[in-house]
Amino acid sequence: MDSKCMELLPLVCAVLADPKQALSDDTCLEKFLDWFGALTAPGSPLLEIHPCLITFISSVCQSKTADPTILSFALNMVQHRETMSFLFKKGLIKVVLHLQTDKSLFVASAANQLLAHILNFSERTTTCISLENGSKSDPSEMQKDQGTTECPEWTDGIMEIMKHVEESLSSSVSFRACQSLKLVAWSLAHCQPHVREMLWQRTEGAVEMLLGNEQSSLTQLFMEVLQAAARTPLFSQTNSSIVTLMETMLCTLKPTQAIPFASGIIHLENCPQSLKKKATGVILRPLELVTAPADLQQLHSDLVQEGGCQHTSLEEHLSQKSSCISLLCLSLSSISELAGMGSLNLEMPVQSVILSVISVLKVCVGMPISSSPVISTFRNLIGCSKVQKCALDSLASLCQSPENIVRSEVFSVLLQYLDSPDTNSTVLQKAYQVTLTWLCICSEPPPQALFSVLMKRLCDMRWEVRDSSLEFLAQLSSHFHENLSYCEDLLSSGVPGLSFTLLTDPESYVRASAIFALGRTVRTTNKAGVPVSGHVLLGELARRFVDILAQDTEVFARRAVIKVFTLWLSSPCPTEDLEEPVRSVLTLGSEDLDWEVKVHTLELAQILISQTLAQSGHSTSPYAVSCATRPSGDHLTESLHRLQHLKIFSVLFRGLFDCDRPVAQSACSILLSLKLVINENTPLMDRKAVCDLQGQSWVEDSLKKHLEKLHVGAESQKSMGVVEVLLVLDLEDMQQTLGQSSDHLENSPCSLMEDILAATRMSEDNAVDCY
Amino acid sequence: MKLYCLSGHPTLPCNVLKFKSTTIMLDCGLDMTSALHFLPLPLVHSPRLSRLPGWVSKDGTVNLEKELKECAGRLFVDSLPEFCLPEKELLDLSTIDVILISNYHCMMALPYITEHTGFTGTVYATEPTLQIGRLLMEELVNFMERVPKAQSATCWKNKDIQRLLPGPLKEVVDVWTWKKCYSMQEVNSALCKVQLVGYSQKVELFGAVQVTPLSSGYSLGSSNWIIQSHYEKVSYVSGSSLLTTHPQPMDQSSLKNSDVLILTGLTQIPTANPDGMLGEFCSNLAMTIRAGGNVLVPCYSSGVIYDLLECLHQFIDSANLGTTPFYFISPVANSSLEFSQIFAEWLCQNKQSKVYFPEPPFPHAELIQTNKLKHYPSIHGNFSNEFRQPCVVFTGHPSLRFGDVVHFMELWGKSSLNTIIFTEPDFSYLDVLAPYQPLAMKCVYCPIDTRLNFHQVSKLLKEVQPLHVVCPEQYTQPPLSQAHRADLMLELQPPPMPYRRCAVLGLPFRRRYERIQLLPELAKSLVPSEVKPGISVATVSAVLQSKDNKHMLQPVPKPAPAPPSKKRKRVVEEPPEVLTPKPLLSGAVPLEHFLATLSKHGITEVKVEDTVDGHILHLQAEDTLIQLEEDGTHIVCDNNEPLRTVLRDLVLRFLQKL
Repeated sequence: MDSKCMELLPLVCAVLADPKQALSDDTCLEKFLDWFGALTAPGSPLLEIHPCLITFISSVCQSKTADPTILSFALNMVQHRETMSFLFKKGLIKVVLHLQTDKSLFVASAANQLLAHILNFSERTTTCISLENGSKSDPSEMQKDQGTTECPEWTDGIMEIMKHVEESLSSSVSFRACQSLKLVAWSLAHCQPHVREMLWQRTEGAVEMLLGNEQSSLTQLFMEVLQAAARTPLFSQTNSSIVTLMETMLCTLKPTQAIPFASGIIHLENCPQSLKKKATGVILRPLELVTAPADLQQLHSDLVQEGGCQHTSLEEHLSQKSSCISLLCLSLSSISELAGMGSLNLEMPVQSVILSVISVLKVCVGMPISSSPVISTFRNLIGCSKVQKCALDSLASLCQSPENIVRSEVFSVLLQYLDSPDTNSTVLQKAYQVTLTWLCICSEPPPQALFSVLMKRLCDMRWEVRDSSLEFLAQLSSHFHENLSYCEDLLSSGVPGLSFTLLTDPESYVRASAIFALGRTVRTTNKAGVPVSGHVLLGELARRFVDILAQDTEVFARRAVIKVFTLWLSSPCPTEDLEEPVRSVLTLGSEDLDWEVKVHTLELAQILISQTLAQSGHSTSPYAVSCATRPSGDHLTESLHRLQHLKIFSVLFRGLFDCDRPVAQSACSILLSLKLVINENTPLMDRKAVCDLQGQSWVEDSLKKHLEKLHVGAESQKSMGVVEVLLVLDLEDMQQTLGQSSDHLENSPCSLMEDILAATRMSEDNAVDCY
Repeated sequence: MKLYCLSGHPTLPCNVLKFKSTTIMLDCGLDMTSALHFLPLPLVHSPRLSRLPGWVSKDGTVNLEKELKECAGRLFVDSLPEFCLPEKELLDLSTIDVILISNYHCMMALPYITEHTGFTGTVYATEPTLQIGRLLMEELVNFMERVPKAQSATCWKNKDIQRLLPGPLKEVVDVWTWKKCYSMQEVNSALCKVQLVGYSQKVELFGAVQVTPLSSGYSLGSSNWIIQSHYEKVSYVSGSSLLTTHPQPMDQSSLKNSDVLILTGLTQIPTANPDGMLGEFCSNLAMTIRAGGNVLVPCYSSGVIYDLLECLHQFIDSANLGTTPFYFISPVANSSLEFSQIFAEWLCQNKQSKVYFPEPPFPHAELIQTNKLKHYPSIHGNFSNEFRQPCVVFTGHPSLRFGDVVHFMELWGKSSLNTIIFTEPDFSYLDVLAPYQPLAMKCVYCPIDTRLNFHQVSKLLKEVQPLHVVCPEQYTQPPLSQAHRADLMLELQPPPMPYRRCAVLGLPFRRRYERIQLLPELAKSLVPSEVKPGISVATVSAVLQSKDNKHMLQPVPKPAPAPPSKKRKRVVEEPPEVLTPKPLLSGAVPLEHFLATLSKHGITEVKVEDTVDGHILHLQAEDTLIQLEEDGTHIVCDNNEPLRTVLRDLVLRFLQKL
């Protein structure tokens, strides 16, 4: 802490402790707290150095009129080790326990956090009772065992907190119980084993009692406590009541709460199989009830009732539209999670879950399913895009190499979704993604029907649909570009031709996606073995793209053009047709008004440089394949000439002096890497001769000014080559300057404290000035 | 109160309501699906159709080569198409007082009803319904009359022959009742009987009932009807729509408190959502044009076509179809496009407000102005000079049996580049295409039916809460092709009363009252006495006069003063004898008090027996019974008039006299 801060801190503390000074913006308190956190390295006696802090804390905690935000700030400050011993010694625990139920929620929650911290810290200062030998952690016994305690007040404090929690849990005031449940949940998750066990033993009974009372306002907290408890070794102890409590919860919770709870249970490590099975049942039940035939449902509900669970409410929920939708969505998204964890297989066959999900998807579009669902199901689910999206997500996560029968079911329902005129555009987009996932897993080319659907969708009225169809086409082509039968089907479908017409779509997103899609498909279709007739040629497409880059008024299409060129050049396809277009793209791209276009152009330049240098055995990229032949200065000179021919230096130097920082940074780093290569080879090459920059417009503009600053005479500028310019420029320094963020001056604790003081010193004069 | 169901077609209804001495026909739709059994009528000679083989029975005994032609395994009648009329035998159509028309699609059978049946009543319809209905009829007559057939086929209708025919001709019923299209003269004569009404205008029918058209939101001038008396209300809901298209929105609230709601004209394709279909229409159209093909849209000359053109107006530019010509070919194309622009008051608010800018309400005006949409009365004449391909053609008739569409089917059917897009929901597209098989042209079915779907109608009925709903039987079960969709039917409590063709339903009514008016002088003479707070009663003696279904109470005429008796007695009409009415009693006899009173009068031995309606008092000493009931008191005593009088007076003490 510098002297300025030392000077300001007491003033700030005084201001904060003064209840008359209102702080309008409390975000600065959070920043202040962060700074404190960083300051209090272990062993630094913060409170001793800054007695003003002690004064501040005790005055705020005992003040009756303290602002809740200040109070919670003070409580948060106290969560540091030294401050805590201070709390114990001064007997402030009682105050904190009282504040736990303060009417300000900020204060109450800060107090609760502080209590949790105290419990957590207790481990380090107390020589705790050995629990391994099974001794009961009775408070009196514990006290006896604490002869070696450094701080006896500390033990008393802990005991006081535990007692308080136990009492609160049996309190009739639900806020008290609620706060203590929160504390228990937090402590179970974070405290040391001894404290944890002690706490659980003292609260277990009360929790059981409370559960029986069915206080719905506390249900969420119970679930949190149980889940926290289940993540501790307490869960796997024999005779652990946690499993029983969880089973009871699964049966008594409302279905909308039971499913997330069940999902949490399945995530638990060391979860007993029986409990896991029950939890899986809870998750799958809504799905089964919706898609299973009526007689099976009856059977199911009988079984469920025998099992002790009352799930009549589930049927009721499913007959109401809104609850039916939310239940199914919960069930489906939990299934996605289960599938993601790979734990579904253990509990039930994935195939039947997939078939159930397919049934839901079918019901949602009014298709018949093998079973006869209740009438209300159709009424509730037809056209419901929320359920459709969740079901599609599940289907994607359940994707695996399945048996033929399931696979054909999956594709038939997906095609139905892709084809149906009523499919909402976001659902359609999901359906495309799921189709892609399944096609990739099955690694068989898409069916013909998919192309006719794509044809129709490319002509859709909604631009979002055209856009996602093109996106899908691009992804499909990128995955199947090796597959000859895919290429043939694609060509004969007429999809590439139709995509070509979308280059003039009125919506710029669609134009951009058409550029990507064509960029991908042209690589697919311009292959040996694929008939030439009827498809768009690479050269022709490249020229068209250059026109778009020059003429399109929207940035998305222009960005897409550069990216596609980058894609083409970085792929191993033949690129002879591309030299002229690439020259134009580099020039147009570097002159563009959009900084992203310029950055992408620099990326393209980077690739060209790497490739050109790699050909001569030099590399700017660690990934470039090194050439077998020994690099020579002549080769490098030749490469630089080639780059000069592509006007790459123009692009780089223009970028270097660009007003957009990312552009300049990118250009600078490329030039630096180039400089490195040149430096390594300086003795080998003729520095003067290469790449005369005479007549280049950028020399006259910004570079000239820069070189003048470096005292390079006007005469020598005229005859300078690229290599010389590179060596003269202090690129390293430029890179450092460009790397600094624009607000680096404003983030200091000192200015923060000045801000707090200024804000509270807002005098009337200032207020008047504002008017 | 009865409902005679003359048509079984749910969207082309024809029902007759007998309601309080009036006979009201509700719509007269014409079922044209019968035309699908006929061969298309080509505008120019079609070698393909003329080469179709005639039909001879397998054993060669029946030869109908001239009448029946075979195409792709199906038989078609080679004659002018005929239509299936509403039932004529169920009741005497000359007794119909009025016909209420709900929209122009539901009046196509009107000339069959009003002409040659002795009908002398009035037809009520809104102006757009009349004008556009006239256009549709005119178009139909034109389609038929411009390709006359030398002879008409009748032999195949012979029952003995018909049963030898292969299906589906074999299964068709009542083919003898099928009729040829009417003439223009009959159309004019029928439409002369139409009286125009405006929305919410109340029309009195013989003083007995009042009928009111309400906006139904389905098409220009389309209406639902309220038929009500003072105490009964019947709502007739025909083609209605809750979607925001061009017509004025549906008036739902006026349908509230109906005793009976007759529900017809729901969407024919409950699984197709109009928005989705419109999207499908546009994308298929664009796809075909981009591939260099033509698009044929068989449609009616009014209705959905306005929405299609409006949708295309937005779509053309976004899909780069600006240079593609759009043609609308119909004998009434021009009138239809222009009529739509002048019925501003019948349009939705958004379109109405355009008139004040001033702008034409429908954007097809702009399409015409910019030459993107051109319309012609037929393929002959100017059209053939200006025809450019690839193009989009809108033309009729959707049955593909007559009209200019037949020509385009012959012209474009052979190429798979072309597409036919069905947007009208009235005909099954497979049946419609049967005489054109084999067909290379692509077929796309996107029926656009904006009428109420089951979800909307159940919401509507929940809102308006009629006591009873009457509907075609088709609405009480899921559609045959979608048997699993239990949501596609009406589920009501009490269940709806289903009807089918030729059914006669007795309609249940809760109340049976008539309103009677009192003349003021009679009202003045009344002496009301309050029986309960706020409720007073009075007796009235009067003469009831009923005339024109109105009922009036008039004072009893005073007997004429006795004429001087010298002259010879004339036979004069005796005025009705006026008897002074006995006072009416009201109130109840309180048992306890009554017993006390009896005992005061020396009657003490009383045995009280409770009955369902009151009590029986047995005066044992007097051997007399007093029955105290809710609506009467009887004193039973043998020949003891003084006792009876005493008892009667004691009872009367507790009652109020009027």
